Amino acid sequence: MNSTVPIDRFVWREWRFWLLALPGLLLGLVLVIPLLVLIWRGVTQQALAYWTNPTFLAAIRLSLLTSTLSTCLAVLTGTPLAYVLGRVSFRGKSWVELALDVPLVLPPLIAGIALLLAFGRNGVLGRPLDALGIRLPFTTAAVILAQTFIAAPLYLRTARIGFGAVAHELREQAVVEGANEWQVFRLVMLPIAWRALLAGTILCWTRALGEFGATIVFAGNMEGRTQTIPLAIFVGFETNLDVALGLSVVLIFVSVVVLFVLRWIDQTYAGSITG
Amino acid sequence: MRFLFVGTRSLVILLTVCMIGLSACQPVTPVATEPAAPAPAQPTEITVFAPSALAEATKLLGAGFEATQPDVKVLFEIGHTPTQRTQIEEGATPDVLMTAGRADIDALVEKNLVTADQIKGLARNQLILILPPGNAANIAAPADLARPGVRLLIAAPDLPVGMATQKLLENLSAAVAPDFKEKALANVVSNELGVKPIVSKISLGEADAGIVYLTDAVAAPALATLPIPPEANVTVAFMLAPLAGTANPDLANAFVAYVLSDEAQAMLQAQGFLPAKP
Repeated sequence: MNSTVPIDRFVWREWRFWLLALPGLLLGLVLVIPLLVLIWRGVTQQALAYWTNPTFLAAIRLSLLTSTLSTCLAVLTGTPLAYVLGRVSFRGKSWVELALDVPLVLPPLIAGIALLLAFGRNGVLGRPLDALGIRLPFTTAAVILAQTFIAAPLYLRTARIGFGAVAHELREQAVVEGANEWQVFRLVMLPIAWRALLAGTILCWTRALGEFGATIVFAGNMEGRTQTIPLAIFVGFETNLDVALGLSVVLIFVSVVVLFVLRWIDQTYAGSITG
Repeated sequence: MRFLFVGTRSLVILLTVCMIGLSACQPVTPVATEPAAPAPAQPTEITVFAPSALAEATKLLGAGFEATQPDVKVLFEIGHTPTQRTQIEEGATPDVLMTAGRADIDALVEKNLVTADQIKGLARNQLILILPPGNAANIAAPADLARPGVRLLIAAPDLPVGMATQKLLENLSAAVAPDFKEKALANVVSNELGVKPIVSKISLGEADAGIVYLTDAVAAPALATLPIPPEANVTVAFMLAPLAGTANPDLANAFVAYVLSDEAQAMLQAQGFLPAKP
């Protein structure tokens, strides 16, 4: 827990306090006011009455399905990768890690174009898939792939840092006592790093839930098949602002809940990491 | 005063550094060495909202208008007409609005943001089928769009071009088969958010056919096209009007007049647009 010093009563009367506080206040307002206005309009215009709108429901259902599946993919493949990257060192490892981080900073639209060029009908990977009768673009699988591409690096990075934070001595001690690699992973690394893995999972899921750019380019927009919540919001913005507002409020609500959970994990299990 | 880790003096230094940093970001004003030529007047800017179907045309229209008006700069904001309508309803203040279709600009009349008698038709557009390189699905006539397994791309039905597409499929149903529209819609793999993405994805061969504006096909000459029978085709009217709240009504009107001039109309027709009046 980081303890903060309560603000001294006299501090408010000090001009130098405001010199620091005013710019900060300004940023705070810019960050908070638009979201409050959005929630306010969403609630007062009864945008949530669209709760039973089929487009609205289809988007929520599809988003929950795809973001959960893409997060599962990220965890199942990302955990071993993060673990291996934490255990072995080889020449050019930092370059590999850098490459795996690129999607984090890449504009999602570019990710979508890259996916389309790789997995499209004439793509490097798309052509052999096409020969097998598998066509990814415009399918729910494409949504999941786009979300995984964008969100998995977030999990990977968090997991890597989590594994990296485990003290060397613990691992070595386990090996000295005769533990094999699986036992080290299962009995030493996981119990210590699980908090980072969970945080990474939640961040990955939220990022997948909000994915727009790569999805629209690679998977297209079709209700019930590829139209996730962000796509429905975009379409709604052009036709029915209330649907867009309602879905936006849902996404903001989810984001706030996620932040609460992350804080809760942070506070409840603070100090459980050794090292 | 525990929060003040820095004393007054260091704060002043900090602020000075910030100021220097900020001023360094601004363009350096050249020191006047010779009697300067009369400073060019700051060009007056007008903003025009335009649909993406007019994206290429706006470059020509802007340059043409600026050539007739010294010290005027036209800034185009390209977007979907329904989005721009929402933006204007929420307080955006362009000087002129160009739209695909009538519906959105008429809706602004009801809100007193546009005056009804100032709305003019600027051009018309029609629909056409585009096919990917190689035409693997062997599309030879509009009727083929209903064949099972064809992957069709159309614009989202909420966009003006998407509405026209729905109308076109209805018209074709009358001409081809009563269940044509239903079958063709079942073949749609994506309701794209605009026409340009359809052109790009068809160029990449990701789908078997796409329905776009005539002008998009003119702009992408590498793509094979399939004309639509004139009796089934749908015409979309492109409109423009000065905004009621423009700060520059004279310039806004001048821009509208320029777009309707013979010179500008010839530019539009060279891009595949049909004249505003049939």
